Amino acid sequence: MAQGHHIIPIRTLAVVFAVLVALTIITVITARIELGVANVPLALAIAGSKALLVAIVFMALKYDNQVNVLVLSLGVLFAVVFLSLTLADTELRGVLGITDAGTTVIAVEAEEVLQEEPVPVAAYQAPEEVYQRYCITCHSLDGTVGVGPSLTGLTDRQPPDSILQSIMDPDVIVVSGYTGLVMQATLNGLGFYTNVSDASVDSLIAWLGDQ
Amino acid sequence: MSQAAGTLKHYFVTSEQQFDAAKMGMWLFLVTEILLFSGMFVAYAVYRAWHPEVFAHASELLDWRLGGLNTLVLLASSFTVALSIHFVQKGQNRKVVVLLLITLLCVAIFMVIKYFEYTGKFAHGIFPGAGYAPHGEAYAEYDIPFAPQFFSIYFIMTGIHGVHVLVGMGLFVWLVTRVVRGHFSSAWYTPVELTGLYWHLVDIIWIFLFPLLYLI
Repeated sequence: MAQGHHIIPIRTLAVVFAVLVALTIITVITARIELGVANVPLALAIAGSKALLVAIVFMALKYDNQVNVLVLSLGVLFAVVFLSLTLADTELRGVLGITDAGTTVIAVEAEEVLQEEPVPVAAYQAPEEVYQRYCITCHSLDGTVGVGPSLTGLTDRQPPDSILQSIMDPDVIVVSGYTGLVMQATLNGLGFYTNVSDASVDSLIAWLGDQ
Repeated sequence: MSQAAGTLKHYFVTSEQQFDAAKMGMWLFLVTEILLFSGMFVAYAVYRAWHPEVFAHASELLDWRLGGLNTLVLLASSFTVALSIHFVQKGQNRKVVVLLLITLLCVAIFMVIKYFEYTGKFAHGIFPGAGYAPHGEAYAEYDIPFAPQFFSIYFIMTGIHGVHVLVGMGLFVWLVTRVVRGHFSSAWYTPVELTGLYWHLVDIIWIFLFPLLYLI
């Protein structure tokens, strides 16, 4: 019966209404001030406060059977689960590089495996050996023209720096009459760039000067 | 014999129990409403998280003065509804009618403002979905990727909210006719209380829509 129902005083309702209007004005003002990343959380905090005021006083949850508070809270809880799990998916999908603890165990383990793998140190190889394995197919030492030009008298035509570039980055300058892109692809395929040490390349260049 | 006794269903022991059951049923319905809107809020959150600069830019096209005015109008209507429950509890039905009519006025103002906002956007090619083709001064620059998503979300969220406002309008008209016919008393006023709960939730949804769409 009516006696059991709390009648909210007009004064209380009016105060809540005034606070709601004030919060609306505050949120308009703060949104128009550039606060960087704080703008969005602040606007949401003000909206949340207004919603709570409406729910507690206008919707009378404060005076009501508390089971209704439970009903509302469960509804809001499910909305929060919905929002947070969806954002956890859409925001972190496919990201392996994130470094937060917990979510990145796989990334950290992958990092550790990479750290542990020994960096191969190529052994020194004699210039004749290198030449026989990687160069001879295309470049002769007797003046015969092959896929590439003969290397006879190479050091008279090119300084050592230029020869080094022609080996390490062969397609930047291609001697006219020869096909570009072939040498780097071939050397890559043979594993030249990973298996031959810098020292071996240096001695190869010195050795070519004597041919 | 009180008027409440006439409304007591045989499967309830007391009017109080009947009232509590009705109210809890209304709260359960409101939870389904929260979950309905949460789907749209989640869509907003995902797209905003993906394209924050587009959403911040697109929200500038919505007039915060009209949105703010509508916020105040809805808050005022929530206040008058809360007052109408105060007076129906005291049995002052004449005041209840006046307050519900003021509420209806607020609802009408809200919908008229919404009408002008929508037509203003339509006139410049701002439509939801595939029809999006902004043109005209200050609008053409919004022909950018993911701006259509913002405006689709804007139209869907405010549109479904607007449908709720129209439903509320119908409920208030219905309540006014019932108060005038003397259906309610301080002993039994459940429909007024439950419509009030519905209306406050519609208000709360707008309290979140306003900053998310117009301000930030």
